[in-house]
Amino acid sequence: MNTIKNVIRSGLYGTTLGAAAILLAACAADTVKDPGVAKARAELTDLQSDPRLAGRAPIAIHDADTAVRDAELPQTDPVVETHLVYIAERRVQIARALAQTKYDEDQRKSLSEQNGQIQLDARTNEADAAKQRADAEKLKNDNLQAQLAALQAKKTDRGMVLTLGDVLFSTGRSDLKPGSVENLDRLVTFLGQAPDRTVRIEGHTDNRGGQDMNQALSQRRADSVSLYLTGRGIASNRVTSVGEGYNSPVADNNTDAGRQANRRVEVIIQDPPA
Amino acid sequence: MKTARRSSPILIAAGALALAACATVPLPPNDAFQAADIAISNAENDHAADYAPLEMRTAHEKISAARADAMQTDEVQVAQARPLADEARVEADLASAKAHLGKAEAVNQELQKNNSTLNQEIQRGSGG
Repeated sequence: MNTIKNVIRSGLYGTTLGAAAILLAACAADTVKDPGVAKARAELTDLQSDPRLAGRAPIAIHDADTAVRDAELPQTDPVVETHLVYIAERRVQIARALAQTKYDEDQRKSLSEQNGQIQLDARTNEADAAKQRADAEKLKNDNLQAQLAALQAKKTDRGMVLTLGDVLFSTGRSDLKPGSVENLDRLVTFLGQAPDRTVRIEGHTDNRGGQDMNQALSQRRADSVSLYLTGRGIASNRVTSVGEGYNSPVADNNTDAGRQANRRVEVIIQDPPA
Repeated sequence: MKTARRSSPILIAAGALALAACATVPLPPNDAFQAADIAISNAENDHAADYAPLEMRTAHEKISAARADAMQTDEVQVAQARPLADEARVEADLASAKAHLGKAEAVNQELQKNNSTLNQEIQRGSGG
């Protein structure tokens, strides 16, 4: 090898071009590999073996491969070597950036699909929730209707009317008899569950005694029922109490049974405003 | 060693070719200059300076240096013009690639942000 080199060298020593001499001197030098070549090759291999990226920039990866191959060729001139490594490193970086860009662009479709799915799910959830609310509302209404039925309330134009007989009160008195409030407690429960309902409480008497006395007694009895309701947590602005005296009989005041029927408290459960 | 010896005629031929190339004053590498100019111009259109300022500066510096070298009388310096122009070109290509990537990532981040905002809103909505 050295002999050959010497032959070449001796054959060319006579040339006048300085550049040629430099070139030859370079030829004579040992080839040294820039460590950047191995690094560029490793990065390219890394890119080529990344399943997300390898197929996404075929031209740029091909160019990078060519550049790395060029840099891998034995070079005698370190300046050329450095230059080729410089190019190779950047071609690999370019290929990675372009592949990653393409990957991001491809991801966009799935991100948009996700967005659509999220919105769809949201609508579905909303519909489900609305149905649940409707079901719950219906159940509650059914429940309230059942409670009204239990109160034996009658449906009238004024709303549901619950008639409490004179058993609530002793004759001539307006305080509620103990143990006679079972129906009132049911009413409290009902009103607690139907916060949009209001009640009008009307006291009624038979025609024995004067009008003023009966008017006052019926008012006190209505007030007494009202007080019972508010005392159990029903807001006072939902309850009005009125004394009607003997002006609205429901039966004949000439018989005991008729008079008993006329002594009553009516609770009118008013429909919620539409 | 034996392999090297067998390839010796090729070595001689290569040496002769190199000498022939060196014997004339090289022309300015206008094709390389043009390629670099196009790459830099493309990168500028991509607003690459916003995403890869260092690469853009290097590209400009290298193409300027390449042109300056081409004007020299010293052949060694003139010979550096082409590799410098090639480096300017690859640097500009890299700047462009980084700009494309930066923009793509920004869009995806925005989409992801939208999705997670939407998710949060939905969770808040169904909670209430």
